[in-house]
Amino acid sequence: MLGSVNEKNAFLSELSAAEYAALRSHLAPLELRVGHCLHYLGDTVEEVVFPHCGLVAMSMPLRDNPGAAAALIGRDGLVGALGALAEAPAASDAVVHIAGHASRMSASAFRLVLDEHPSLRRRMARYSHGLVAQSQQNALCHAVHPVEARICRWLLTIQARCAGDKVPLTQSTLAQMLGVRRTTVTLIAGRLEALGIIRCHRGYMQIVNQDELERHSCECHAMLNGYVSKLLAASADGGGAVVVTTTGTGAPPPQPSRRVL
Amino acid sequence: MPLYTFELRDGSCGIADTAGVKLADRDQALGYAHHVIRELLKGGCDWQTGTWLLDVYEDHDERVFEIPFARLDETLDHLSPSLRSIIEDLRIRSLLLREAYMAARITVREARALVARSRGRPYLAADAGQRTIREDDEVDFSRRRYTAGVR
Repeated sequence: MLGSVNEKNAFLSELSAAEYAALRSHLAPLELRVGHCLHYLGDTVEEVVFPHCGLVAMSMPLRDNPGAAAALIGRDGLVGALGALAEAPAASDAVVHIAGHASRMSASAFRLVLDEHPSLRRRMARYSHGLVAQSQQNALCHAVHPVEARICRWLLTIQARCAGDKVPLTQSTLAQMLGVRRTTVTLIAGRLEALGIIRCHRGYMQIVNQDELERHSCECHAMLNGYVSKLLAASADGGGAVVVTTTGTGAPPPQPSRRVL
Repeated sequence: MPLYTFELRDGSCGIADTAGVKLADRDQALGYAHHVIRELLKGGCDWQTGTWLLDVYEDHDERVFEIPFARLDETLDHLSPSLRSIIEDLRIRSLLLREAYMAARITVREARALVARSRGRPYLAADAGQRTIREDDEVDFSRRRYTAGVR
């Protein structure tokens, strides 16, 4: 199933040899530099980017405010795929927050390959569904959860996309992604550091106690991880249906999640 | 423009944002501090968060504001002004008690370390990155005394 030993992007890695061969000739290397915007809100999406490492935030800017990140894409996904498929303007900025490298291909070639390979299109639809789930979960999280729990959750999310215990983000960048002031992140990071959960360094944060960080995080991290892993497992099984129901006859309603996969 | 720095008083030794932000004047600094407090209160104010204070310093020197979180706690909005005032006062007293307890603990630990050192015995040099035997300018609790009439 692995397209190439050098490829680290999860979407590419999970393709069959035939699927990967269809994409391969269109792929070109791309360096992801911090601050680089792959596309802006409202722009035509010209290319699809498959990060092998690094982190891209899909951010929604406001008129007088940097806004907040609606979704994060690392080596687990691809940037610009939905816009390219729909030939629609980008629904958000795609800003690189952690440097890395990627493969890219033109939007027109991407559409062509997906038209010729229904299995690839199904995979793409499943991935897009996961991205929508992430955006919905983030919207809920931004709206209702305390900032400390959100910071913990985002540290876990970002750590999962970078190898090791270091999260190479400044507090300022994290604040921008969460849509809060930098001082708020600094004060919460100070509390977490005093509790021995993280250690703050210039330019990065180090996770010292993963279990405690998970305990301080909101439920969104576990919920989304569970959902996406079921989605990927169903995909690996040959595209079987993912059943999402709300059940509980006779028994007390499951809390906090009523999602049964 | 003056640099405004912040210290969160949560009953521990305090957490400082020494990098701070440059703002035009004290009114802007107050507005910024209120935003920070609202962000920290968002998602529910538990009993502990409701007792916190945010101090604002101008150019690392003068403390210009000392803002109780209870003052901005929307869950107290339904109370009558007199009852709200009592609750706010209780929360501040609760924080001051925790700070006094923390200061006493640190002093006892330091005293033990000083005695051990004077006798040439091993002693706890540091805890959680903080030196047990402090330098003169390391902790100035008098600076953190709560004063009535702050905004």
